[in-house]
Amino acid sequence: MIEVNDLTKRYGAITAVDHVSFKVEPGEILGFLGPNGAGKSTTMRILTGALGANEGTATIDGISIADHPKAAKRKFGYVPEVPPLYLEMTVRGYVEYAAQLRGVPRRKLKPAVARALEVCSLDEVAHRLVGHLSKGYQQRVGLAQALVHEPPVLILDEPTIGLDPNQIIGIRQLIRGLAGKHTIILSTHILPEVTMTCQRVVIINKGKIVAQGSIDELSAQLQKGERLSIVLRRPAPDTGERLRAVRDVLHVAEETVGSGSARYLVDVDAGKDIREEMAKLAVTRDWGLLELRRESLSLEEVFRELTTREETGTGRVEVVA
Amino acid sequence: MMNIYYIARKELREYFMSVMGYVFLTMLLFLTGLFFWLLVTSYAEYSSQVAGSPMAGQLPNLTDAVLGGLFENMGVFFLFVNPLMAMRLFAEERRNRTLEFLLTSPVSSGEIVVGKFAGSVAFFAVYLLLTIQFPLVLSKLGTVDPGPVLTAYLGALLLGAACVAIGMLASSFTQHQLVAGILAFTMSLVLWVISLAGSGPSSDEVWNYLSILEQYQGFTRGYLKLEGGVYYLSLIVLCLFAAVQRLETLRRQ
Repeated sequence: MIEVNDLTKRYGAITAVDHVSFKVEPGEILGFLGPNGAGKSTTMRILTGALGANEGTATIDGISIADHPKAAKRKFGYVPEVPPLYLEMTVRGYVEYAAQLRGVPRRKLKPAVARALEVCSLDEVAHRLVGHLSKGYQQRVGLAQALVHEPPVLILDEPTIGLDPNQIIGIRQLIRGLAGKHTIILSTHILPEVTMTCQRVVIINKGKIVAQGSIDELSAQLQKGERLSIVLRRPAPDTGERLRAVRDVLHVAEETVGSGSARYLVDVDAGKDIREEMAKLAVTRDWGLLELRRESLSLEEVFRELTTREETGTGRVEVVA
Repeated sequence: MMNIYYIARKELREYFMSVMGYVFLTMLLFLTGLFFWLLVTSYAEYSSQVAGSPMAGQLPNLTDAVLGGLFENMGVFFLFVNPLMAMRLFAEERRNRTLEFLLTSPVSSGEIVVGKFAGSVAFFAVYLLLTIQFPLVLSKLGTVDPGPVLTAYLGALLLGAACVAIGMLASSFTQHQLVAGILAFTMSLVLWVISLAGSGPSSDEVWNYLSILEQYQGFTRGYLKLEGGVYYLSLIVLCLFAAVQRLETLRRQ
């Protein structure tokens, strides 16, 4: 349904999005997860044609957003991080305007607007000015304008940011209710949001995609364990084999690092610390131990920066560093 | 085409959804009425003088003296007020982050620009419609020649639309309405006083031709000059084209 290939966006020397590629299958809810400033919004803005890319392509339902912007834009509804709201319009007036610009035919206009207002529970405030509504309602108005033309794809950038806990729950329920009818991309920096609403996740950090897959796959990958990096000055031909023979070692990769030295990347079972055994082995075999350290997996690094907890009651989310 | 209509209609409505449109209309109609009253009373005074002494010569005709003078003064208002009408068109949308709504809707930059321009000009036309009261009142006082009135209205519409186009272009360059307003002011002022460049010893007709008010004067005196029409239409097209380019740049950034 959505295909992003090698998308790159540079601002001067800074690369905000670096060769990002991913796919979204029809009917799927994809979580686009990453810490603040990872390049989520930039990717979404390129995908929706609000921004041009330096390299790469994005297609929606097989239509390239760069080459056929009008046709591609009929295929999606988009809620940017700050929902675009005409504060002096009424809710109904604004949703109607959105429907007209998205090409809803005149005879279908009324039912389309009525349906969007109903789905987003906006019936009661339909005649009020958008500027007079609470933030939660305004977020719903943002959603209503995005889905009034019944697009196959919905692109939501941080849809729960700045809302209080009750409003967050409401918006998430609403999004889950839309699943099935629409293919959805949802960007967020809040881990529980993804686990609660999405089937598949793409994780982005510093402009690059660091992992993608279902939530189970990713947590398995994360729990698979640790990696040790060992540099030896005089490795023996059987060093790799001997390392592999140590208890709890899952996998050993070998690479030479100049003048006979070698680096061994040792994957270890989760929760096991075998650094001491490794050091002993290297010393007794006289391999010339130069370095022994734990390497953190990049995914873990990202997760550490993500917001992993939500505090109920205050509406504040806590960042666990 | 429908997109242009939808955008124009929304922009026109926007003037009346806030107090802004009413402020503009009140201010403009008050100024127009004030000048109308001044012109009528001075014409009446002059005509009683002429009637008193046979030496005073020919009385100028009512349409030229009052309505011609009125429209000439109105032209100066447009230079200042129309940029204010148009300064919000893009600046406000960028500041409120609603421009993204238009940019990600299946609407081309040309449709956005033309729609916004048309909406703003439509609002200006509402004002022009309301000023029909002045020729009507005048026709009760004496004979009004309909020809010059029509050319004056055509000239006012062209000049007003050109000033709106300048204001809209300025608005596409900044997120601050005030900055856009000042920028548009400066542009229209330069286009006005550009005729001074030709008023020196080496007087050159070209500078007069380029002045935004010189071109207007023919219309207020009852002439339909092709060059005037060409001047305003090319100014409008130039501003709209530049605004489209500006929007395309914003999309690419």
